[in-house]
Amino acid sequence: MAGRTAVLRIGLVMLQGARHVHIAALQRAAEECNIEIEVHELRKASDLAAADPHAIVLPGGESTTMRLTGNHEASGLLPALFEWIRSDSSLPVLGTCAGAILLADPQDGGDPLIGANIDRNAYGRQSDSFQSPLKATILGRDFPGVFIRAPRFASHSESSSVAALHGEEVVGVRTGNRLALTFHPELSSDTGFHRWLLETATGAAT
Amino acid sequence: MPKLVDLQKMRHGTELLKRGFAKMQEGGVIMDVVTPEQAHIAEDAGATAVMALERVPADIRADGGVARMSHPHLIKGIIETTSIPVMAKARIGHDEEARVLQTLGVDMVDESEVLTPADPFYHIAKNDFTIPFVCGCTNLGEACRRIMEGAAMIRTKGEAGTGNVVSAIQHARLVAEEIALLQSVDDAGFEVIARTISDGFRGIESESEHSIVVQNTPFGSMDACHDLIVEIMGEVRGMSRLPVVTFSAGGIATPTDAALLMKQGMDGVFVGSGIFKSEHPATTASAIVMATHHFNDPEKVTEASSMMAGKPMDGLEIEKLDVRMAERGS
Repeated sequence: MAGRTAVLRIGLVMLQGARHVHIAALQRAAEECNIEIEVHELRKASDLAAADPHAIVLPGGESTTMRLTGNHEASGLLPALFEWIRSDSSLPVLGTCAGAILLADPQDGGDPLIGANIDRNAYGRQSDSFQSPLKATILGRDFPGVFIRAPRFASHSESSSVAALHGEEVVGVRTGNRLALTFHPELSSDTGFHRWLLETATGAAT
Repeated sequence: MPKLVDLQKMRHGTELLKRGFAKMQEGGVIMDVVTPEQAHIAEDAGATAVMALERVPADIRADGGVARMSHPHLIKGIIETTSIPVMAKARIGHDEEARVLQTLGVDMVDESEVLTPADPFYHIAKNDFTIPFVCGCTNLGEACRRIMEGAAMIRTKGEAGTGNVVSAIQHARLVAEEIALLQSVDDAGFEVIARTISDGFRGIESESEHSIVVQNTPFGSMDACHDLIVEIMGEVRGMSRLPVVTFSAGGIATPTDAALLMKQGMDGVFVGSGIFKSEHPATTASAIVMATHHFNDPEKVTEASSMMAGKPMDGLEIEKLDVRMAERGS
């Protein structure tokens, strides 16, 4: 990335949920990687072409709300976003929690964007939400896991790889440059996954 | 849980998990519901959570008398049929109601002035619980005290059950102005504000015939409380906002009400009586969700307003109220 002067445009899906912590995490990661970024808020379909993002983030929140807001004709963001991502298999995408649900189960009649089956809110209620160290295989190290009313991967396809493990349980799945995590790296102080996104977008990832 | 997970390293009920849960509600609309059927209407309209209770605030206001926690069967019934988070209200200072709600599996407790306060001096020691709490505020001092006590989310009190947005606006503006004040004062001024806020824990002193001086509170010693208040105020000064997710509540009845509060910098809205006291709840709910999402886009807010299929709830003037719920629990 040395010598790169272009600004990296990150599209952040603003349908609902914990968006501002992602902005903060992206900015910290950008400083650490010495990459200049612009975060573009995606609220409706036309925001996509206007932003023409180099990478996309789908935050956590309530997936039912995101589907309703994003499929409503006033926004139309979700069907447009899924088509946008399908049209460019190398586009780096990070989905956390509800974002992972949307990627694995887009419900728009097209193929899933992440090759995995996922169950919503699979650990129980908020009292069952937990913090626990996990293995971020994609980063080759441990990572602080924050699971909030988290979904669970039931299975993943052969074309996908494991990106993170909690014990023996798969909590992160990678399909190409798309990454779906059932936990919240944006709530921890570790920017590893956000750096991965930025570095993949600059083509500098190993 | 699969093997190889070190259960000793798994932590529940941390501040990060509590505040993180609240962050997942950002940009959302949380709706009061009194039956599982209403919970379905709310979920289908795009609510990010429901508040399960026996009576909406407008009915609590009309009925008078003591308002308490709802019956466990009602809350359980709503939990079992809803896939989004379920919140429920406990009386201010009523630890035992909150404990029952936690045991029932409620995702967040609203320690609410809409119910009749149980403790005239202290709120619940919220750090003693695994699940997060949301509390109301009318100004910065109340917000800081509630955060110190362990609230993971703050909402304006507004004036519940009135369909009148004026108090919610008043509280949002007051908090914003007091945050601006905090950023303009010198160290001495900062300490004066901190003292005033900490002295809010001394309510019991003026009720005694004797000159008692509060040394300890349910949240720790007065000195420790003061130190934490100073710490929270420092965070507020640094962030130019409260350090927890801040919603608006109390009187929101229309899509434009929701957009107005979002424009004031609120992270989302609670709609209590405004949905199910309106003529056509399902469309009111959808329209408020849409206006909350597109609050910055006048065309979309107009579209949301046009969706309203009947009258919004009837409104009440604040000056003519017998009970002002916002004055409860400072």
